[in-house]
Amino acid sequence: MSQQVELTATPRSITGTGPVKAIRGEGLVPGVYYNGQGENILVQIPELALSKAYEKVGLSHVLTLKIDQDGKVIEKPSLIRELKRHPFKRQILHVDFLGIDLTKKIRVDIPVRITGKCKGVVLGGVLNVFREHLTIECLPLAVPDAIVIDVTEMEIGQNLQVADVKAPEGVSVVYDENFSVVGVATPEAEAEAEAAEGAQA
Amino acid sequence: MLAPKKLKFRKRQKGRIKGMAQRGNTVSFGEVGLKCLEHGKITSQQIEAARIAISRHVKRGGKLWIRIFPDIPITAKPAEVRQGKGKGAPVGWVAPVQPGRVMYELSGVDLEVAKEALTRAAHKLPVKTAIVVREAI
Repeated sequence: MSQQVELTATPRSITGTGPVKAIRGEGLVPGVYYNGQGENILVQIPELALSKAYEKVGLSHVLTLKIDQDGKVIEKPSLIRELKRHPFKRQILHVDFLGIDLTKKIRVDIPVRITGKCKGVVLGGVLNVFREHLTIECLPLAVPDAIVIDVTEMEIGQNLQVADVKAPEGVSVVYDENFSVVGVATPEAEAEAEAAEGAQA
Repeated sequence: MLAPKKLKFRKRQKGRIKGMAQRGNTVSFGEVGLKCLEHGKITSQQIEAARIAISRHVKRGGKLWIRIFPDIPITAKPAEVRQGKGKGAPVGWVAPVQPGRVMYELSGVDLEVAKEALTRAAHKLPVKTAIVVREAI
Protein backbone atom coordinates (compact mmCIF):
# COMPACT_ATOMS: atom_id res chain seq x y z
CA MET A 1 0.00 0.00 0.00
CA SER A 2 1.55 3.27 -1.12
CA GLN A 3 -0.98 5.51 0.59
CA GLN A 4 -2.34 5.31 4.12
CA VAL A 5 -6.12 4.93 4.19
CA GLU A 6 -8.08 6.92 6.76
CA LEU A 7 -11.54 6.17 8.07
CA THR A 8 -13.60 8.33 10.40
CA ALA A 9 -15.78 6.68 13.03
CA THR A 10 -17.96 8.04 15.81
CA PRO A 11 -18.39 6.35 19.19
CA ARG A 12 -21.62 4.42 19.63
CA SER A 13 -23.64 4.06 22.81
CA ILE A 14 -26.49 2.12 21.19
CA THR A 15 -26.34 -1.67 21.58
CA GLY A 16 -28.77 -4.54 21.06
CA THR A 17 -30.40 -6.05 17.99
CA GLY A 18 -33.32 -3.62 17.54
CA PRO A 19 -31.51 -0.29 18.08
CA VAL A 20 -28.54 -1.46 15.99
CA LYS A 21 -30.96 -2.32 13.15
CA ALA A 22 -32.13 1.30 13.28
CA ILE A 23 -28.51 2.47 12.89
CA ARG A 24 -28.14 0.30 9.78
CA GLY A 25 -31.30 1.91 8.38
CA GLU A 26 -29.51 5.28 8.54
CA GLY A 27 -26.66 3.98 6.36
CA LEU A 28 -24.27 3.38 9.24
CA VAL A 29 -22.44 0.21 10.14
CA PRO A 30 -22.03 -0.78 13.80
CA GLY A 31 -18.54 -1.88 14.71
CA VAL A 32 -16.05 -2.33 17.46
CA TYR A 33 -12.45 -1.31 17.95
CA TYR A 34 -10.26 -3.36 20.27
CA ASN A 35 -6.59 -3.97 20.86
CA GLY A 36 -4.23 -6.19 22.81
CA GLN A 37 -4.17 -3.83 25.79
CA GLY A 38 -7.85 -4.43 26.56
CA GLU A 39 -9.13 -1.18 25.06
CA ASN A 40 -12.63 -1.61 23.67
CA ILE A 41 -14.62 1.13 21.88
CA LEU A 42 -18.00 0.68 20.20
CA VAL A 43 -18.11 2.69 16.97
CA GLN A 44 -20.33 3.41 13.98
CA ILE A 45 -19.08 4.18 10.45
CA PRO A 46 -20.83 5.33 7.25
CA GLU A 47 -21.26 2.22 5.08
CA LEU A 48 -20.04 3.81 1.83
CA ALA A 49 -16.80 5.06 3.39
CA LEU A 50 -16.20 1.69 5.01
CA SER A 51 -16.76 -0.31 1.83
CA LYS A 52 -14.40 2.00 -0.12
CA ALA A 53 -11.74 1.65 2.57
CA TYR A 54 -12.23 -2.14 2.65
CA GLU A 55 -11.74 -2.35 -1.12
CA LYS A 56 -8.35 -0.67 -0.68
CA VAL A 57 -7.01 -2.32 2.46
CA GLY A 58 -8.80 -5.66 2.65
CA LEU A 59 -7.98 -7.68 5.74
CA SER A 60 -4.21 -7.36 5.47
CA HIS A 61 -3.31 -3.66 5.23
CA VAL A 62 -3.31 -1.03 7.93
CA LEU A 63 -5.77 1.85 8.00
CA THR A 64 -5.94 4.80 10.37
CA LEU A 65 -9.18 4.79 12.29
CA LYS A 66 -10.07 8.31 13.45
CA ILE A 67 -12.44 8.17 16.38
CA ASP A 68 -14.12 11.44 17.25
CA GLN A 69 -14.39 11.38 21.07
CA ASP A 70 -15.72 14.48 22.91
CA GLY A 71 -14.54 16.80 20.15
CA LYS A 72 -11.08 15.24 20.24
CA VAL A 73 -10.00 13.03 17.35
CA ILE A 74 -7.97 9.98 18.34
CA GLU A 75 -6.04 8.15 15.61
CA LYS A 76 -5.81 4.38 15.93
CA PRO A 77 -3.79 2.34 13.43
CA SER A 78 -5.84 -0.80 12.87
CA LEU A 79 -6.52 -3.81 10.71
CA ILE A 80 -10.01 -4.83 9.64
CA ARG A 81 -10.20 -8.09 11.57
CA GLU A 82 -13.65 -9.23 10.47
CA LEU A 83 -16.33 -7.87 8.19
CA LYS A 84 -19.74 -9.48 8.48
CA ARG A 85 -22.04 -9.22 5.48
CA HIS A 86 -25.72 -9.98 4.94
CA PRO A 87 -26.13 -13.57 3.61
CA PHE A 88 -27.20 -12.42 0.15
CA LYS A 89 -27.31 -8.62 0.00
CA ARG A 90 -24.07 -6.66 -0.29
CA GLN A 91 -24.85 -4.82 2.96
CA ILE A 92 -22.16 -4.81 5.65
CA LEU A 93 -23.68 -5.76 9.00
CA HIS A 94 -20.75 -5.36 11.38
CA VAL A 95 -17.05 -4.67 11.40
CA ASP A 96 -14.23 -5.46 13.84
CA PHE A 97 -11.11 -3.29 13.98
CA LEU A 98 -8.00 -4.68 15.62
CA GLY A 99 -5.73 -2.02 17.00
CA ILE A 100 -2.06 -2.68 16.28
CA ASP A 101 1.33 -1.37 17.31
CA LEU A 102 3.14 -0.09 14.23
CA THR A 103 6.50 -1.10 15.72
CA LYS A 104 5.57 -4.76 16.24
CA LYS A 105 5.41 -7.43 13.56
CA ILE A 106 2.01 -8.82 12.52
CA ARG A 107 0.91 -11.97 10.71
CA VAL A 108 -1.46 -11.60 7.77
CA ASP A 109 -2.53 -13.62 4.72
CA ILE A 110 -1.73 -12.11 1.32
CA PRO A 111 -2.39 -13.42 -2.20
CA VAL A 112 0.14 -15.15 -4.46
CA ARG A 113 0.67 -13.50 -7.87
CA ILE A 114 2.25 -15.49 -10.72
CA THR A 115 4.32 -13.71 -13.36
CA GLY A 116 6.24 -14.80 -16.45
CA LYS A 117 5.71 -17.37 -19.18
CA CYS A 118 6.74 -20.74 -17.78
CA LYS A 119 9.26 -22.84 -19.77
CA GLY A 120 7.39 -26.03 -18.89
CA VAL A 121 4.08 -24.63 -20.14
CA VAL A 122 5.68 -23.73 -23.49
CA LEU A 123 6.72 -27.40 -23.76
CA GLY A 124 3.15 -28.57 -23.09
CA GLY A 125 3.07 -28.82 -19.29
CA VAL A 126 0.27 -27.52 -17.07
CA LEU A 127 0.91 -24.85 -14.44
CA ASN A 128 -0.83 -25.60 -11.14
CA VAL A 129 -1.10 -23.02 -8.36
CA PHE A 130 -1.59 -25.02 -5.15
CA ARG A 131 -1.80 -22.08 -2.74
CA GLU A 132 -3.67 -18.88 -3.53
CA HIS A 133 -2.56 -17.20 -0.29
CA LEU A 134 0.45 -17.28 1.99
CA THR A 135 0.84 -16.16 5.60
CA ILE A 136 3.55 -13.57 6.09
CA GLU A 137 5.09 -11.83 9.07
CA CYS A 138 6.32 -8.25 8.85
CA LEU A 139 5.90 -4.74 10.19
CA PRO A 140 2.36 -3.41 9.64
CA LEU A 141 3.38 -0.69 7.18
CA ALA A 142 5.57 -3.05 5.14
CA VAL A 143 2.82 -5.51 4.14
CA PRO A 144 3.15 -6.05 0.35
CA ASP A 145 0.08 -6.25 -1.91
CA ALA A 146 1.04 -9.79 -2.98
CA ILE A 147 3.86 -12.32 -3.01
CA VAL A 148 5.10 -12.26 -6.59
CA ILE A 149 6.42 -15.58 -7.93
CA ASP A 150 8.28 -15.61 -11.23
CA VAL A 151 7.71 -18.98 -12.93
CA THR A 152 9.75 -18.28 -16.09
CA GLU A 153 12.50 -20.80 -15.24
CA MET A 154 10.19 -23.62 -14.10
CA GLU A 155 10.26 -26.79 -16.14
CA ILE A 156 7.93 -29.79 -16.39
CA GLY A 157 7.84 -31.81 -13.17
CA GLN A 158 9.31 -28.99 -11.10
CA ASN A 159 7.62 -27.70 -7.94
CA LEU A 160 8.31 -24.52 -5.99
CA GLN A 161 8.28 -25.13 -2.23
CA VAL A 162 7.24 -22.45 0.23
CA ALA A 163 10.76 -22.39 1.68
CA ASP A 164 12.08 -21.30 -1.73
CA VAL A 165 9.61 -18.43 -2.15
CA LYS A 166 11.44 -15.12 -2.30
CA ALA A 167 9.66 -12.58 -0.12
CA PRO A 168 10.41 -8.84 -0.23
CA GLU A 169 12.93 -7.43 2.25
CA GLY A 170 11.65 -7.36 5.82
CA VAL A 171 8.93 -9.87 5.04
CA SER A 172 9.09 -13.54 6.03
CA VAL A 173 6.74 -16.29 4.92
CA VAL A 174 5.33 -18.30 7.85
CA TYR A 175 4.73 -22.05 7.49
CA ASP A 176 4.85 -25.29 9.49
CA GLU A 177 5.29 -27.77 6.64
CA ASN A 178 7.34 -27.09 3.54
CA PHE A 179 4.41 -27.40 1.11
CA SER A 180 4.39 -26.75 -2.65
CA VAL A 181 3.06 -23.39 -3.76
CA VAL A 182 3.18 -23.81 -7.52
CA GLY A 183 4.15 -26.66 -9.84
CA VAL A 184 4.27 -27.67 -13.48
CA ALA A 185 2.58 -31.03 -14.14
CA THR A 186 3.23 -33.24 -17.13
CA PRO A 187 0.40 -33.23 -19.69
CA GLU A 188 -0.07 -37.02 -19.15
CA ALA A 189 -0.53 -36.60 -15.39
CA GLU A 190 -3.08 -33.86 -16.00
CA ALA A 191 -4.96 -36.00 -18.57
CA GLU A 192 -5.03 -38.94 -16.13
CA ALA A 193 -6.41 -36.71 -13.37
CA GLU A 194 -9.10 -35.44 -15.74
CA ALA A 195 -9.99 -38.99 -16.84
CA ALA A 196 -10.34 -40.03 -13.19
CA GLU A 197 -12.65 -37.06 -12.57
CA GLY A 198 -14.70 -37.97 -15.65
CA ALA A 199 -15.04 -41.58 -14.45
CA GLN A 200 -16.29 -40.33 -11.06
CA ALA A 201 -18.92 -38.13 -12.74
CA MET B 1 -26.82 -38.32 -9.94
CA LEU B 2 -26.15 -37.38 -6.34
CA ALA B 3 -27.91 -39.48 -3.68
CA PRO B 4 -27.08 -40.62 -0.14
CA LYS B 5 -25.26 -43.96 0.12
CA LYS B 6 -27.36 -45.19 3.03
CA LEU B 7 -30.41 -43.93 4.82
CA LYS B 8 -32.03 -44.37 8.19
CA PHE B 9 -35.67 -43.78 7.17
CA ARG B 10 -37.06 -44.13 3.63
CA LYS B 11 -39.74 -41.45 3.94
CA ARG B 12 -39.67 -38.13 5.68
CA GLN B 13 -42.14 -35.35 6.49
CA LYS B 14 -42.06 -32.37 4.17
CA GLY B 15 -41.29 -29.59 6.69
CA ARG B 16 -40.77 -25.91 5.86
CA ILE B 17 -37.62 -24.10 4.83
CA LYS B 18 -37.16 -20.86 6.78
CA GLY B 19 -34.51 -18.24 7.44
CA MET B 20 -31.34 -17.40 5.58
CA ALA B 21 -28.18 -19.42 5.01
CA GLN B 22 -25.95 -18.67 7.99
CA ARG B 23 -23.31 -21.11 6.75
CA GLY B 24 -22.06 -21.79 3.25
CA ASN B 25 -22.91 -18.23 2.19
CA THR B 26 -19.47 -17.15 0.94
CA VAL B 27 -17.34 -18.23 -2.01
CA SER B 28 -14.82 -20.41 -0.19
CA PHE B 29 -13.15 -22.70 -2.73
CA GLY B 30 -13.36 -21.22 -6.22
CA GLU B 31 -13.21 -17.72 -7.64
CA VAL B 32 -16.82 -17.31 -8.78
CA GLY B 33 -19.98 -18.79 -7.31
CA LEU B 34 -23.70 -19.15 -7.92
CA LYS B 35 -25.68 -17.96 -4.92
CA CYS B 36 -29.28 -18.82 -4.18
CA LEU B 37 -31.65 -15.89 -3.46
CA GLU B 38 -34.81 -17.80 -2.55
CA HIS B 39 -35.96 -20.70 -0.45
CA GLY B 40 -36.36 -23.85 -2.48
CA LYS B 41 -35.75 -27.53 -3.01
CA ILE B 42 -33.24 -28.48 -5.68
CA THR B 43 -33.65 -32.01 -6.99
CA SER B 44 -30.72 -34.26 -7.78
CA GLN B 45 -31.72 -34.08 -11.49
CA GLN B 46 -31.54 -30.28 -11.41
CA ILE B 47 -28.15 -30.35 -9.65
CA GLU B 48 -26.84 -32.72 -12.32
CA ALA B 49 -28.33 -30.71 -15.20
CA ALA B 50 -26.67 -27.55 -13.90
CA ARG B 51 -23.35 -29.39 -13.47
CA ILE B 52 -23.49 -30.63 -17.07
CA ALA B 53 -24.36 -27.11 -18.31
CA ILE B 54 -21.29 -25.72 -16.55
CA SER B 55 -18.84 -28.44 -17.61
CA ARG B 56 -20.00 -28.31 -21.26
CA HIS B 57 -19.51 -24.56 -21.42
CA VAL B 58 -16.15 -24.57 -19.64
CA LYS B 59 -14.95 -27.52 -21.77
CA ARG B 60 -11.38 -28.13 -20.52
CA GLY B 61 -9.63 -26.74 -17.49
CA GLY B 62 -11.30 -25.20 -14.51
CA LYS B 63 -12.48 -26.83 -11.33
CA LEU B 64 -16.05 -27.08 -10.12
CA TRP B 65 -17.36 -27.45 -6.59
CA ILE B 66 -20.96 -28.44 -5.86
CA ARG B 67 -21.76 -27.23 -2.36
CA ILE B 68 -25.25 -28.65 -1.94
CA PHE B 69 -26.19 -32.29 -1.52
CA PRO B 70 -29.65 -33.81 -2.04
CA ASP B 71 -30.19 -35.78 1.17
CA ILE B 72 -33.95 -35.34 1.68
CA PRO B 73 -36.17 -38.09 0.19
CA ILE B 74 -39.25 -37.03 -1.78
CA THR B 75 -42.29 -39.26 -2.20
CA ALA B 76 -45.15 -39.20 -4.72
CA LYS B 77 -48.33 -41.13 -5.28
CA PRO B 78 -48.85 -42.79 -8.67
CA ALA B 79 -51.13 -41.12 -11.22
CA GLU B 80 -54.91 -41.70 -10.92
CA VAL B 81 -54.75 -42.98 -7.36
CA ARG B 82 -57.28 -41.84 -4.76
CA GLN B 83 -56.12 -40.08 -1.62
CA GLY B 84 -55.37 -42.23 1.45
CA LYS B 85 -53.86 -45.70 1.64
CA GLY B 86 -50.63 -44.36 3.06
CA LYS B 87 -47.75 -42.21 1.93
CA GLY B 88 -46.46 -42.56 -1.64
CA ALA B 89 -43.27 -44.25 -2.73
CA PRO B 90 -39.90 -42.45 -2.70
CA VAL B 91 -39.22 -40.92 -6.13
CA GLY B 92 -36.07 -38.87 -5.64
CA TRP B 93 -33.87 -36.66 -3.53
CA VAL B 94 -33.76 -32.93 -2.94
CA ALA B 95 -31.39 -30.43 -1.38
CA PRO B 96 -33.17 -27.72 0.63
CA VAL B 97 -31.63 -24.28 0.03
CA GLN B 98 -32.02 -20.99 1.82
CA PRO B 99 -31.30 -17.46 0.49
CA GLY B 100 -27.56 -16.83 0.58
CA ARG B 101 -26.44 -20.40 -0.04
CA VAL B 102 -23.55 -20.72 -2.52
CA MET B 103 -24.51 -23.75 -4.61
CA TYR B 104 -21.73 -23.95 -7.21
CA GLU B 105 -18.19 -22.59 -7.30
CA LEU B 106 -15.84 -22.41 -10.22
CA SER B 107 -12.15 -21.60 -10.56
CA GLY B 108 -9.38 -21.78 -13.16
CA VAL B 109 -11.31 -20.15 -16.01
CA ASP B 110 -11.74 -16.58 -17.25
CA LEU B 111 -14.29 -14.55 -15.34
CA GLU B 112 -16.48 -14.02 -18.41
CA VAL B 113 -16.48 -17.76 -19.24
CA ALA B 114 -17.30 -18.59 -15.61
CA LYS B 115 -20.16 -16.10 -15.52
CA GLU B 116 -21.66 -17.49 -18.74
CA ALA B 117 -21.31 -21.08 -17.46
CA LEU B 118 -23.02 -20.21 -14.17
CA THR B 119 -25.78 -18.32 -16.01
CA ARG B 120 -26.46 -21.46 -18.05
CA ALA B 121 -26.54 -23.48 -14.83
CA ALA B 122 -28.95 -20.98 -13.25
CA HIS B 123 -31.43 -21.67 -16.06
CA LYS B 124 -31.65 -25.29 -14.87
CA LEU B 125 -32.53 -24.35 -11.28
CA PRO B 126 -35.95 -23.56 -9.78
CA VAL B 127 -34.73 -20.61 -7.68
CA LYS B 128 -33.56 -17.05 -8.31
CA THR B 129 -29.79 -16.83 -8.23
CA ALA B 130 -26.93 -14.34 -8.35
CA ILE B 131 -23.34 -14.69 -9.51
CA VAL B 132 -20.88 -13.73 -6.79
CA VAL B 133 -17.14 -13.22 -7.02
CA ARG B 134 -14.77 -14.09 -4.21
CA GLU B 135 -13.68 -11.11 -2.13
CA ALA B 136 -9.97 -10.31 -2.10
CA ILE B 137 -8.32 -10.64 1.28
